[in-house]
Formats: sequence, C-alpha cells, structure tokens
Amino acid sequence: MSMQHDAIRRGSKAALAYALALLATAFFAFPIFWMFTSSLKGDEIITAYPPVWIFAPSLQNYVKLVEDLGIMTMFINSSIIVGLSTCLAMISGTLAAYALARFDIKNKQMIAFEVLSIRMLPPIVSVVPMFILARWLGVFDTYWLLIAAYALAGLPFVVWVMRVFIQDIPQSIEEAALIDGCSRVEAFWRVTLPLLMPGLAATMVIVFMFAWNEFLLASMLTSKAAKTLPVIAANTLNAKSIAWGMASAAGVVMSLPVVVLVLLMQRYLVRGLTLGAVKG
Amino acid sequence: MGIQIKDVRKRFGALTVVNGVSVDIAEGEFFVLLGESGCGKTTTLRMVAGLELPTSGSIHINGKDVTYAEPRHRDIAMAFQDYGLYPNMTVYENIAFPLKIRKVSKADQRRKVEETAGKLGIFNYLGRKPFQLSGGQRQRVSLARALVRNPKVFLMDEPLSNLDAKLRAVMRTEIKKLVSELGITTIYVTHDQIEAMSMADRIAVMRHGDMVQVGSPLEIYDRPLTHFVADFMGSPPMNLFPASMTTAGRPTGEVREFVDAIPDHERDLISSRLDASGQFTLGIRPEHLKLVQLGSPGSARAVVDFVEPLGQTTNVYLTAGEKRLIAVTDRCVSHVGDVVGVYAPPEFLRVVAN
Amino acid sequence: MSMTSISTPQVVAGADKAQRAGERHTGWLLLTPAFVLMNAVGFFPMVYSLYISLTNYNPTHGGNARFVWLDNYASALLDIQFWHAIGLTFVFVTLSVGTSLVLAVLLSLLFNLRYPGFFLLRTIILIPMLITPIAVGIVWRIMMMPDLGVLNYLLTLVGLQPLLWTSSSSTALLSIILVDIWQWTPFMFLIVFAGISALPKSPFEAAAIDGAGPIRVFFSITLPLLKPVIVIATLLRIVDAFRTYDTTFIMTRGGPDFATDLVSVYLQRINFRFFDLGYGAALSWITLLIVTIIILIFTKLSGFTRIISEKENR
Repeated sequence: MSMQHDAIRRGSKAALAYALALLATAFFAFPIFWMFTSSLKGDEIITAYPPVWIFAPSLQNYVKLVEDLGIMTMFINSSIIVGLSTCLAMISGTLAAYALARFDIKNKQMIAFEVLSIRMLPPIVSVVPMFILARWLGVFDTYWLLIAAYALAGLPFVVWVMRVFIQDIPQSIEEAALIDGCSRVEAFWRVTLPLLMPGLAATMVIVFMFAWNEFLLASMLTSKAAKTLPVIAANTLNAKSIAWGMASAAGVVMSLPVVVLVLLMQRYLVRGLTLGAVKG
Repeated sequence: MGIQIKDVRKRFGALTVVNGVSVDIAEGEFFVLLGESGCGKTTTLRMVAGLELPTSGSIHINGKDVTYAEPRHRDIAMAFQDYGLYPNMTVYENIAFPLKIRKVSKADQRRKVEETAGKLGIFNYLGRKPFQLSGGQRQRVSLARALVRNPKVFLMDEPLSNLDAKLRAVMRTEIKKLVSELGITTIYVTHDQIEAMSMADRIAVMRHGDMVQVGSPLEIYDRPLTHFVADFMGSPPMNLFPASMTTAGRPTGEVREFVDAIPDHERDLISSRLDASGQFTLGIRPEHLKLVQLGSPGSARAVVDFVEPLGQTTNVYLTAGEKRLIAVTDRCVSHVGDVVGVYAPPEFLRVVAN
Repeated sequence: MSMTSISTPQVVAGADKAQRAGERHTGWLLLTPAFVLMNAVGFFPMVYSLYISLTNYNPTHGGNARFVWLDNYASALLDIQFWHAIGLTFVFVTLSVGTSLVLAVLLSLLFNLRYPGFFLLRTIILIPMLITPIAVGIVWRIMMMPDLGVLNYLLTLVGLQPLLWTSSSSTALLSIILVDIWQWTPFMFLIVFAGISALPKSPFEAAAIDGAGPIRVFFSITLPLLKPVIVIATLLRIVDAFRTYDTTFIMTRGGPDFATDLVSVYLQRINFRFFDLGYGAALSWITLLIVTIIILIFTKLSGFTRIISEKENR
C-alpha cells in the first residue's frame, strides 16, 4: 500500500521535473529556433501575422548576404583578426601564467592585481583614447588595431585561468623531467605542455568567443577595410527598410562557429569559464 | 668520489632553511637525512639535485663541482614523495623517458626498460597508465625510471611516506637490497626513524637547518649527542633527566641514584656538553632500565602507573619522585600501583647536551 | 612555516648565482610579452584618456584641444542625462543579475536530479550565452515587434494582452532586462551547476540522517556551501552587466524617450555622435569610479577576498 504510494509520489516528482526542465529549455531554445527559421524565410512570410510555422525553406537570405553585402570579406576579416589576437593572448598569457605559477617573483600580488584590473576595464573607457591614438598612429581601420585590442581583452582571462591549470600539475612532474635529462624548456615542452592541452583548448575557445562576438570596439575602430561580422550584421538594421531575413541569416552565420566549437569542447569548458571558481 | 657537501647554506628571503651543512658521502654509501618536517633535509636534497641553488657553499658529485649545474648535467636520479610520474604516458613510456631524452636507440630502450621493470616486478603493467596503478606499483615505476639509466647517484625524497605501513616495510628492504646490489650512492630523506635505522649506512639527524649528528644508525642510537637526537630516535624514546654541574664540580640531577652512578668516562664528557647555564641531560634507553626489588643497592623508588603488554615485551610506565620513566621489560608481573625499585646499569647511562 | 611546504615551493629554482644567470630572469622574461601588451595597449591609452578628460578635445571643432582642468568633471556632476543613465544602469544590473542568479540556482537544483535526457537539455540551455550579442538583439527585436511579433502572438494565444515591448517607455527597460536574463542566465547556470556537482556528499548524508527536509537542507547546507561559487559568478556578471551595450544598441539605441539609455549607450552618443571626446572621457572615468566602488562594496559584503585567499591556500 505505502510502497505503491511511494511509487506514485516518485513518478509525479519525475513528471514535474521533466515538465519544468522542458519549459526552461523551451524558453532558452525558442529565440534560437526563431532566429534559425527566420533566416530561412522569404521576405513575404518573415513578418507574416499570425506567424508561419511551416514553410518551404529558402537560402535566399544567405545568398543575398554573400552577393549584396559581401559578407565573405567580413568573415575573412573576423577570422584573421580573431585568430591572430587569440594566438597572441594565449601565448603571452600562458607564459605569464607559467611565470606566476612556478617562479618566485617579487611583487607577485601586484602583478596579479594589474592583470585583474585590465579585466575590469570596460571597453567604453578605452575606446576613446584608442580611437584618437589609432588615427594619430595611422592604424585606424586596420587589422593590427583590433588584433592588439582583442589580445589585450583576452589576456587577463588567459593568465587567470591558465595559472589555475598550471598549478594543478604537480611540481614534481616537471622536476622529474629535469632530473631525467630535460632542460627547462624541454621539460615544459615535452611534459608540461601535453598535460596543459585540455586547459589551453578550453581557454582558447572562450577567448575566441569573446573576440568573435565583440561589437563595440569593432564598430568604433573600423570603418571599411577591417570591418568584422558583428559590425556588418548591425548594419543590416541601418537600412531604410530593415532586412529582417538577412539580419537573421547574419546572426546565424556569426553564431554558428562559436556554438559548434563550444559544444564540441563542452567537457573542458566548465573549468575554463568558471575561472577556477569551482574545483573539478 | 661520492658526494661532498661543503658549508652549504640556503636562505629563502629572511628565512634560513639550511644553515651551513657539510658532509662527505662515500661512493656506494646509503646516506639518510633524518629529521622532522621543516628541518631542512628536503631542501638539502634538492640542492644536491640542482632543483634549488644554495645561497653559499659548494656541492661536488664524483669529484665534479656541480653547485650550480643544471639537474640534467649531474648524472643523478631521483624518486619523489608523490612519485612524479608523467600521467599522460604509459608505464613503459615513463621508464623509457630518460633514455629517450638521452637518445638511446629504440632497441636498447626496450631491452633496458624490460630488464628494469622485470627486476622491480612491474613487467606486466608496462602498458598501463599511472592512474591505473596502486601506490606501491607507482612507486616501483618511479624507482624503475630512476634506475633504468644506471645513475651514479640516487636521491630519494620520502619515497615511502604515501604507502601503508605493511607495504612500507616490504619496500624498505627491497630498495635497500636493490641499491646496495647496484652500488649506487644514495641520499634518502625521511622523517621516519625506523626507515632511517633499518636502511642507512650512515644517518645525519637534522634540526633547524643544522646537521646535529652524523653517524652509523647504532652510533646515533647508542650515543646520541643531544637531547633532540636522544628523544627523536627510538620508540619509546630515551628516558631523559635534566641535570647540572654544581659549583663544586659535581653533577646533580633529578634522580639522585642515576646521577651518582654516572661512570667516569661519561663524567669526562660532561664539561664538553654543558650548555651556557651549566645544564646537561642524563639519558638511558627504556630497554636498559631494570625493575628490581625495592631498596636494592643503586636503585630508585618508583611507582608503576601503567602497564602496556605488547606480547614480546612490556612497556612499564613509572614515576620516580617527580620524574616519569618508561622501562621496556620482558613479560613481567608488575601491576599498576606496585612500588618497585628502578636500576640504571652505569654502562648504559649517557650524558647528552641539551 | 613547515619545511615540507618548502620542499615544493613556488620556485623551481630561485637561482642565486650567476652560473645559472639566465634563470633568475626567466620569470620576468616570461612576463614580458604580457607586460608589453598590458602597458602599450592597456595602460598607455588609459593615461592618455585621463589627459583628454582634462581638455575640451572635439575633432569636429578643428581638433585644437584646450586644457580645461576639471571643467568636464564639474559639468558631469550637473549632467542630469548622465545621472539618469547611471540610475537606469544600476536598475538594469540589479534586476538582471539578481534574477539570473535565482534562476540559475533553481535550474541547477532541477538539473541536479540528473534524470535521463537532462544532459541534452542542459546543453541546449547553455547555447544563448554563445550567441553573438548583436544576433541576440536582432532576433529579440524581431520577436518583440508589437504588431507582427511572435511573442505577442503567443501571449494572445494563451489569452493575455499583447505588450508594446521596446516600443513603450514603460516596458522597454524590462524588455532589455528580459533579453539580458535570457542570454546570461546560462552562464550563471553553468557555474552554479558545476559548483553543485562538486559539493561533497557527506554533509547531505548527515542531514538526511538528522532528518532535515529538502527546504531546510537547501538553506542550511546547499546554499552556504555554494556561496563561494555564487559570489564569484555574481561578481563576474556584475562587471560584465555594467558594460552591456550591443543588444541595447541593436534593440532600442537608448529609446524610446531615453527609457533604456544605459550609461554605455549614453557615453557612446557623447563620444561618437557629438564627438565631445574630452567630456566623454571624463564621464567614462566617473563611470569607472562608480562601478569600482559598487564592486568594492560587493566584495566587502560578500567576503570575496576571503574566498579568494582561501582558494589560494587550499
């Protein structure tokens, strides 16, 4: 009797949990679904009311993105700028993190604080001086400007997270390598680096994501030649008659690389994103 | 040949960790650095390894000054407390790593790895990763990795402290056997006096960055120089009594009968072991104390507080005057509350410095 | 200080002698690239910005800057529009981060039941934080169209009144807060869920044996144990929420009637519509000061520094 009662209670608890979980998932997934389907709708049905749920998908918005807006150029711009800045941030940040984790450096706290204060710095403060200095140096609207800006923006994150990853590798492993005949560089290269790979990959994806999605600096520090995807996507809304379909398609094009990359790496990401706030 | 450590000092900022240590370790010797955590033993070992550099002093290995040489140029091997295995490599790759770095041919690598692994009984685990092994197996891998390239010097930093008691005893004999067969000069760091006693050719007891006493295990056990060494070595520890020199040049101390019994050759040592305030310590090992009839000549009156029968022997806890004593006796018939005599044979009384 | 901890110190080799001369400087050498980047791209422009804020620099006025000392800061104090923006931003951050936090904790508890299929749903929920904010603004703008949008269609479908969303000054701020919650709750959820997963089992077993009910367990055990994680996640979100710009720029540009004129949007207008760069620099420094004070207050109240130092010493 009571066993049966318990089973019913457990069953209804599970049903309630599933209902809530599905509701939450619907809330977070619906706009993404809507963006994706909108990008496949023709101009006439995209603003139809009541909304059209079943329709023949068309790629015309994507074709227009490429042909009318020349989005391939922006895609290449974004790839080069974000790719190089991510590499720059990863290399300089990991080296700094290694130094902070493994070497006895005076004023270590000061350096850590400096790194953190860069993290706090809102782009809205730095955009004006960068705008003026860039014009003065003649690097306005070039790759280099955004590469430097994004590398800087990613740097604190890399230092902070990689320091945690490096500290998690027992010191004795590197020392064993030194004793086994490695030089310091060899020990890092052959022993530490392979162990850091998951951490590096996770950190890299996150740095990539922030740079790839960045809009404010990109919109102010470029005008034509070095325009990135978010800027051109924002521009689709500036036209007199807003091209909703193209805007949705641009949104999909922008978001897809990050979503794919992150979902592939999901296992490693939690630690990276939590800045070592959670052990495990 | 062997290892010469000359007046080596190490400071971390304001903190002096090793305070002028000098010792000459013979080739093939098994040398143990013994002390509590914080005594500087590990730092001393790491300076020999080249993982730390001394603030001053010099280190010679096999006649070569290696004070500031990189670890890889010292021809040493090392075993770590947490094993220091490369977690991403298999056991085989771990053991082969030092050979690979030295560009030994693939065939030679295989032969040597298999030979060493066989000797250490881990041949069947060569394909596994370290996380699939037990603690004892991991330590064997780390030993194999150290021994595979026939080093001249083997440094071990508390290699057994993460193992359980039974395994520790097994590994103790195994390590000792292995390195003495191979004739490798070994420095072994431990805080466990039983490990030190059972394995060492010579022991250096360290405290506060100083080597307090260097000698063979029995020498240190039988003739401790200081109160610290006497108390540190042996379980249960030595019975120690504060004593001093009177102005008349006679020793006095808490258990009158024992002080009076100090033999001449020990009495001669007192002057050299007095501290600034004229104090010294008198000691006797628990196993040398004898329980006798109350009032026997030379014996002190004591009350039995507690009796611990251990099977082979019995620990008897006593109070003589104000002083608490331990005697290790054969199976005995003492009972709590008995009033007995304790007798300290003069030949086992030791004068030690405070 | 125990010396076994010295046996594995922060130093691989604190080289003291010239024989291994390079080594003493290796640490600094490794820091150099990061240092160059931080100072050249980070601090030099900041110092320059401080200088601009003391001038009346405006490139559309011929570019001849005059030094005006603290005039810009003085006018900022009287700039009603600016303080309106600061106030709006404060409301925005409080509501958005607060709601996200509550949602994230509830979601974490729900998904910690780990029924079959929950892993997939969890993964789907994480996606919004990955979407480019510009794209987020675009799609929500499409969905929030008052006459043709799908949100109003869904509202009428369940018998509710349609809303004006971003087109009315009374609902615009709440609309952009909703979007911010939608995008960033997944981030909070990710962190809090990881925190819940990493909690030790024994306190919960002890509580079960002591006969504590689920609500009691949540407030007496789960929440206190999660506090470090929650504090860090909240801090990260506060820092980022203050600089929210992209979605608001796409959805409302600060309108209608300045109802969503967040401080970042206002600053951007001063700087790049009116090119009043000297004044804009002064405003951004005041903003930075305010944000820093708020964060300091938060870290003080939440014991953040203690949490960090405990982590360092673990």
